[in-house]
Amino acid sequence: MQTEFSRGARAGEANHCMDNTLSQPVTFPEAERLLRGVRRAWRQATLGRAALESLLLLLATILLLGAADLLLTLPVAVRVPLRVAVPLLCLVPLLRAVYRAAAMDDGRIVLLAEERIPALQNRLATARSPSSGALAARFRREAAPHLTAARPRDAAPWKLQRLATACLALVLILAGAAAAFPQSAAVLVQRWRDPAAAPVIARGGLLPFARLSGEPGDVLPGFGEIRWTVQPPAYTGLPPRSGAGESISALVGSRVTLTGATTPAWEAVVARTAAGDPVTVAGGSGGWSAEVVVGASTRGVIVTAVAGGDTSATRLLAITPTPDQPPRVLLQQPAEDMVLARPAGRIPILARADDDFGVVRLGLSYILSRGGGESFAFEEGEWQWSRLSGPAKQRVGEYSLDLSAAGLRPGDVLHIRAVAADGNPQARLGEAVSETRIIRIANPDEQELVTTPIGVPPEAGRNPVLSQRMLILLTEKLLERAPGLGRAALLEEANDLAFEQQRLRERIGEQIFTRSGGGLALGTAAVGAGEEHEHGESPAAALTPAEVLEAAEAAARASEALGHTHDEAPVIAVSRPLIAIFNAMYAAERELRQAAMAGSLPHQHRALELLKAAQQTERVYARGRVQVPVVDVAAIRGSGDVADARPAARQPSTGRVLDQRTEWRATVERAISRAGDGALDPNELDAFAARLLADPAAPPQLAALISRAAGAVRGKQRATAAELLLEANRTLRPDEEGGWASPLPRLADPRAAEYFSRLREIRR
Amino acid sequence: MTTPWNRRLRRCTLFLLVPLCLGSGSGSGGTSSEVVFATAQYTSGDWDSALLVPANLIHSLAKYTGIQVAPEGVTVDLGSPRIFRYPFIFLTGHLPVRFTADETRNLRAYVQRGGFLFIDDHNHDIDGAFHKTAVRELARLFGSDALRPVPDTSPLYSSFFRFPDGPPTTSHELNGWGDNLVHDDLYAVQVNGRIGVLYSNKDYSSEWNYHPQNQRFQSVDNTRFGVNILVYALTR
Repeated sequence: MQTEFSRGARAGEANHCMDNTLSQPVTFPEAERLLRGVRRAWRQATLGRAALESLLLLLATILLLGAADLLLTLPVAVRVPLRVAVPLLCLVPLLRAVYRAAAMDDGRIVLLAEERIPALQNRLATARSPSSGALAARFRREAAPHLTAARPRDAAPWKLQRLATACLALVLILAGAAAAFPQSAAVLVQRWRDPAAAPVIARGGLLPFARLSGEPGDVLPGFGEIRWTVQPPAYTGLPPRSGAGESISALVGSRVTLTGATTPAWEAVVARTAAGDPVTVAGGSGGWSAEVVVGASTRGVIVTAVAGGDTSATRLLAITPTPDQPPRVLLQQPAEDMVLARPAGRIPILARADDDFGVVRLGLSYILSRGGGESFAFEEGEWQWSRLSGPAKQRVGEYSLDLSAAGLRPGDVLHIRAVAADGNPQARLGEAVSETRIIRIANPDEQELVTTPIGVPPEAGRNPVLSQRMLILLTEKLLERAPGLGRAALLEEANDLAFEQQRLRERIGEQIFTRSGGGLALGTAAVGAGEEHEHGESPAAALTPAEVLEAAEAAARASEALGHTHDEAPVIAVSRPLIAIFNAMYAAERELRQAAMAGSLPHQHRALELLKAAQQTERVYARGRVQVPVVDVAAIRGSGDVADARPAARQPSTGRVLDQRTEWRATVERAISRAGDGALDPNELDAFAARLLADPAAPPQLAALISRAAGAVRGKQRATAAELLLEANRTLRPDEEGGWASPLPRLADPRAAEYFSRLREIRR
Repeated sequence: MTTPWNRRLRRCTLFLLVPLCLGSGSGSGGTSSEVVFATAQYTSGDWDSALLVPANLIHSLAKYTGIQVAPEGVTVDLGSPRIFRYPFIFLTGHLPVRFTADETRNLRAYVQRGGFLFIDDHNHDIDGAFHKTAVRELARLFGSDALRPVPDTSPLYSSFFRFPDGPPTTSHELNGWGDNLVHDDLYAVQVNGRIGVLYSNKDYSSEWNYHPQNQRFQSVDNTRFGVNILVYALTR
């Protein structure tokens, strides 16, 4: 206030003088120079002090947090944000000083200078006021020496001593603590450098096992029981399950939570997957827990306890991911592929999909191909089920395919299959599909070929029809046994054979019906429109199946039927070879019904002969029959010009897996012999287990067994350790039951096994 | 610089070494030391649309290399475990490809165990049903991103003859048949760094579907790339 008053008084006096003189303004370069100097000095002092304050705050925070972390082992969730928050907090004094320096205006600098430099006697503010005339000139002469003599630093002294001393003291304290406790300091540095990583696990490797080789392994406490909880993926609807042990099997997508107890000696528990990815470990009251989501390539988790800046204990938990199988889809109807005479009628389609966890989608897709040779046209799409029923785990779709409405033409091929998917979002190999059924519409010229099986497929689940050859054998046997059988028994058995003969005959009849009816004459399909005819007779479409059968049987009875074709109904003319077979079977069946086996056999042999002839009928290819030549390898050998053949050098494979398996087995056997001597080092076993787990070619169960053996050695359970090692050794023997198979799965076919054996040798 | 000595040496090396390390298919048209060319028979399509390709490639394999090869190829049902007898299987056709459950299971195991499946689209038409369905089936078998273009630097193009510009163009592509496109790349499913499934949309089935004796009428034998495919399949 005194300063303000003085400045106001001097300003008023100066103004009064100026009013009186009314002369030219007088400038004061000394005043401006002093002002710039004071401003610079003030800024330097302010920013210098602020920097020291920030440093002091940082050192103090490091000291406090380090001590807290050593004493309490701060969780990773605290360390991670603090790593960012602490430096930002320490920058606050510096940022505040920068803001103040920017906000300081000239007026405040002038006041500061006049306050801090008493020798100015308030002349600086007066000198910076606009003035002119004689009075101003006289004031300049009087004030100039004072302004020139003033030192800017007097207005803004450094005052850094106390802050610098405090900083130095803290640095000394930290350096002393690090020197006194180097391991703790190293742990702290590593913890805060990478909070999520294990202090002793190097990036990209499994350092702790290598470092611990040869060190005593039982000086620090190890892990107790580690329990696990598997939460299956939500879409499965399965409840969580819990257990303990080193080997966990879980569905891909499951969430596995590991829990265990900690000891006071431990500073931290860290975990990584076998692939080296960090796993977040949470601390609790006297325990720890880690959570990992099981992927298709997950092989296990390595848990490490840290004490005294080094690895105290490790535990390896093998995880075997079980991929969810896609749904099982069955296309129950139609049961077989079929060739239809014409596109008329309806075909029922029935599909069923089963899945452990529920079918999310069941569809019916089709592809229609039309054309031939080099020219094909395709159309694909999906039909909507007429009815979709059943529980989620067992969906059933029904559809009635209207062949007329589908716009099919002769020669068209229709591929039908059912497609299903479950709710697994991780399914990578796509959806499950049923068998594909092919429905083909016969070409007109094809209908005269007995080798084209036109007709409805047999019903699914029906007893197989006995072949004509089998019927002959059965008839001959019955003929042999006939003398020992009573009349009733003989009739019964002969009638059974007659029934089988009838079924076989009806199969032949189906071919004839379909040709005549132009569609699906039997079963659930409707008979289509009439067939074209050549001789002016009534169209065969007018015939019902019964009428066709009657016509065929009438033809069989007529002795001249097979010798004269001109007046036949078209169905008989087209299917002449089939009808001959049909007739022979009919005669055989009639004899059997009377228990006349001897009379039946000639007809059966005749039917068989005709069937064989029909089967040998030449198949007609649109492009003509292709004669595939047999290459005379010896004659052609080496006749080619290989002047420009430059095969690149090949890199032979090393047969790594086989070599490694031998090495693993040798290591296990060495460990078994050491276990007998009591000289087994658990750390070496841990290192071995870690190597196994990191190798995708090694079975995870093997790593788990070795890890358990290491734990048993630490627990002084030598017998258990030896037992586990023996079990591990057994898994490496591919020939033993239950053992680990070779990299190429064992094959039922020995020739295939031989081929792959040679293939391995080539690669080696 | 290729000298006659170099040529002789190379030929001798191929003739002597390759037979020592190959073999397959005993009892199926060849002796135990012979490679048997197998054509896949699958249920859904016209698997027998290029009946002369096997004979032509067998002829070329004998003509250029010392690989012991059976004089006749065999047809093998994809749904049968017999496919495991053959290190190389050729599959072609025009019609939609839809593998049955047995075929799916067999093919997946066959490729993963080191077999080589060469699929060629006889339609040479990217909108054709063979291409669309075969690619879809391969995605179902091996994953949606498994089928990838084969780079021109692949050993496939240098396994015997050199094809620095990638797969040779077929006359059917140049004639503008099919989709009127020249397909630049072949596609492959790699298993352990090796091609397990080679997929071609270039219609080599038409290109090589002629009597082997007619090779002499060609200024440059167009089956030489087939030799590369076979040598790659059998030696890598």
